[in-house]
Amino acid sequence: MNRLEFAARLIVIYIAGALGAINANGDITAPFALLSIFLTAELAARKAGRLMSDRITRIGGSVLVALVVGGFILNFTPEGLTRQTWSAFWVVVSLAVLWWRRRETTSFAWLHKKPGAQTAWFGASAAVLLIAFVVAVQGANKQLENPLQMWVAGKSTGSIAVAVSSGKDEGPFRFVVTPEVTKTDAFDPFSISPGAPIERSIPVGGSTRYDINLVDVKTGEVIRTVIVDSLPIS
Amino acid sequence: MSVQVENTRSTRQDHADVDLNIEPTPQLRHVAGPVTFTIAIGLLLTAYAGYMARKTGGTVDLLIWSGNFFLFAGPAWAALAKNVHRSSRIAAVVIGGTAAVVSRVLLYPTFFAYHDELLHLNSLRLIQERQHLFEVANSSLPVSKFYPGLEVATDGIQQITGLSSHVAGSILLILARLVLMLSLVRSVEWMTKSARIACLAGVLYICSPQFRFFNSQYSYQSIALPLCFYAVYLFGTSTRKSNWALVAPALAMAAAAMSHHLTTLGAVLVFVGWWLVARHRKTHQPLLGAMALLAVGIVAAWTAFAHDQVLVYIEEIAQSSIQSISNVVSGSQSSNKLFADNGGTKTPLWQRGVSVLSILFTVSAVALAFWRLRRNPKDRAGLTSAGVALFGVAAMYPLIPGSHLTVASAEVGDRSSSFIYVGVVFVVATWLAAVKLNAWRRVAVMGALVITYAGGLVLGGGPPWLQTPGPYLVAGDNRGVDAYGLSKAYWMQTYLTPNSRILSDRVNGLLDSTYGHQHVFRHLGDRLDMGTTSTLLLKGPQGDYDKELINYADLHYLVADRRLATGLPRFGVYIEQGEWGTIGTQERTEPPPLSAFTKFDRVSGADRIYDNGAISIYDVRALNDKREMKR
Repeated sequence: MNRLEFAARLIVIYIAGALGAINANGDITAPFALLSIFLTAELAARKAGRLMSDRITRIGGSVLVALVVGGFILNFTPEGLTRQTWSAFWVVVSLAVLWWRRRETTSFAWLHKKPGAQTAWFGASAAVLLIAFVVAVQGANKQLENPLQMWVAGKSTGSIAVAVSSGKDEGPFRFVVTPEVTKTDAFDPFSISPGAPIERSIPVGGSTRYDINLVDVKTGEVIRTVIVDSLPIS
Repeated sequence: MSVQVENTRSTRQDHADVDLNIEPTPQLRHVAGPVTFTIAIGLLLTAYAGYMARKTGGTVDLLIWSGNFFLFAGPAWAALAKNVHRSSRIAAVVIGGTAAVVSRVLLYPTFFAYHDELLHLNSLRLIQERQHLFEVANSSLPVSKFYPGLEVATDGIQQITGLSSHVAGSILLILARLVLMLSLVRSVEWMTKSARIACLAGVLYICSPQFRFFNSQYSYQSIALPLCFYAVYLFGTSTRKSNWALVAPALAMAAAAMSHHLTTLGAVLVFVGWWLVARHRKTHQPLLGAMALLAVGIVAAWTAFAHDQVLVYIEEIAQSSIQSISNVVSGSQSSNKLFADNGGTKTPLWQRGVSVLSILFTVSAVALAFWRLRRNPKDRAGLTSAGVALFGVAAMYPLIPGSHLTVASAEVGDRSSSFIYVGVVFVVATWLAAVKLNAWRRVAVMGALVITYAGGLVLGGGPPWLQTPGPYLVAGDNRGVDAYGLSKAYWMQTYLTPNSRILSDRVNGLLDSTYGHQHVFRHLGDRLDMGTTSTLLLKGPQGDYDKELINYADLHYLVADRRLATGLPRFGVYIEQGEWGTIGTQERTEPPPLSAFTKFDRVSGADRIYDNGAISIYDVRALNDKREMKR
């Protein structure tokens, strides 16, 4: 293996390992890590035979086996399965494979081949697949818009904290409590936007069960309800 | 059929890059590119079907079935066609098989939504919390604690790359499917010395009912099966003659043994059956006996390690299957409703037709292959021991449709089909390759393949509503996972103490454990009597008895999804097998009353602390003083 290739492989291995060790974001780590996994597995499987199908089988299969068996081994370390131990594991495996295959030479002849019809078909397929993913993600995100949620955020003597959130702009709403309590600005109408929940402290008496309703100001309809036993006033 | 010389450890000549069974022709076609493009079109149609299903809430049959057709037609044609370059043929079939997993990811590209997927995602979460294996059991699937192969491999990808568990899991599934297809195709090519037979076998395996859905989901058999196929491939194609040749397949078997119980048992039966056939025929198969012994040893050792859970789990499956079958035979229980779910949805007539036809085609093809083998002594003599073993496996095919008499035995039959189908595809592929196909016959075979594929999708995909996203359905597996359930689960993760004890229904329970990080009661994990405990959610007000049950189960919270009162559960249960209303041979005929889900509104000591319009959460800790159940 020429020095340039050896050095390039080392750099990829160490960058991927270092990014994992410092808990770097997946957007930055993933390209290096996936490249490191592929380069290591490809180098290890290179002598699996002349047939590309055998080499790809061994690349994929060896990654699967390494992950399962490697995870089993890491389990017995005191730290266990952490980002640091996994990153260290893959660095060790990659360095071992790099040393084992240090006499291999990688051919880059394929870079000089003129792209033919097959390349064009595969390129078009990749483009269509990308569009498919964009369409799929758009559809899934539509389904996951958070509904209007209301919850008890806390109880203290003389008050109950209530929070409301939504994934879209909604309102105006107001709180209505049964049995009736002293009116404060907690009962003023409010609207909700996506983001941080709105929290209000509802004044209550002691030793009673309260229905706290979220009511649509325009229609008067009860949208959400929490039901809480207040804390006794000592 | 090619004559196969016994003693088939690979030789260097076997690796020649041409199909040895066709006459050399001046121009072999390269078809992988155009076939891949048709597959990509199929994936786009599938993604669009998912998008439209969510947007309109209606059925998207035309889109989804068009997508299915494009996913399959190209690889099937590439396997059947004449004068196709070997590598092109293999690439087309392998990409087609791998695309089945990609199509599932496209339907749910940002989260796992199916029942088994959420179970295993929860197992992954538990491992990641502890950062060690074998420590905490998933209460919904306790046996998975001892079979963490899927989760540990996902964790590896996730930790090394920094990607999310869903992305890491999806990458793993696609990689595993690639390994499965290549291992299958190359193993058959090794046995028959024919890429065409191998690719036909690959295409036929795509037609198996479990291929597109069950074995593509994020579940432990989805990694175990490829690892088992990989172990067989490594052993068969190895050129080494020393004991070192056993190391790689043994490691693959070990990884498989760590991943799933019954699948690795299937692999052990493959190696042992192969060895027995070789012994019976007195053919020399180097290292085969040692490999079979290793496989038995590895799986036995792992089973001994996991015996606490796995033997109980397998015993329960076996008991419920036997009980169901005997109930059906004695008439005390009706047989499994074919082509209909508990919610009353019936599979469309044309889909029922193609699924029956696909079974008929498969049975006929297997029968014709056996008949041809019987009539051709030369072919019989040329069959390897592995080939003979696979013929024996193929003969078990009728067990698969027969097992669908009852729900419990259907599960066993479906899981076995992943192995039985290997025998079926080998047998049918070798027969098909020997048949002289003119243009019309090729069209007819193509048509039969498409019908068999479509039938397999119907048989293995479950009711039509299960196969795509869409509006909420009561206890509807993926269709029960929606923004209400997910937002409630994420709220739990943020605001409730982790691993609080919760009673929740089937779908919400999965979300609450996986995304909500709570401990959800289930019979398997908690050894609770679900017949009585389930009345907390499924029966109207029971007064003090409700409080007794809360204490019996040591509950902290109840999750009440009011939508469950609007219909019957799609898979027969709201919570799990053995719940109130389904004990023994009882069958539910109407949904619980709405009062079952609001009864704690007027119980002092139970606070309704959360409401999102469909789901409420009750804090019942004030009612729980851990008294024993009196009734």
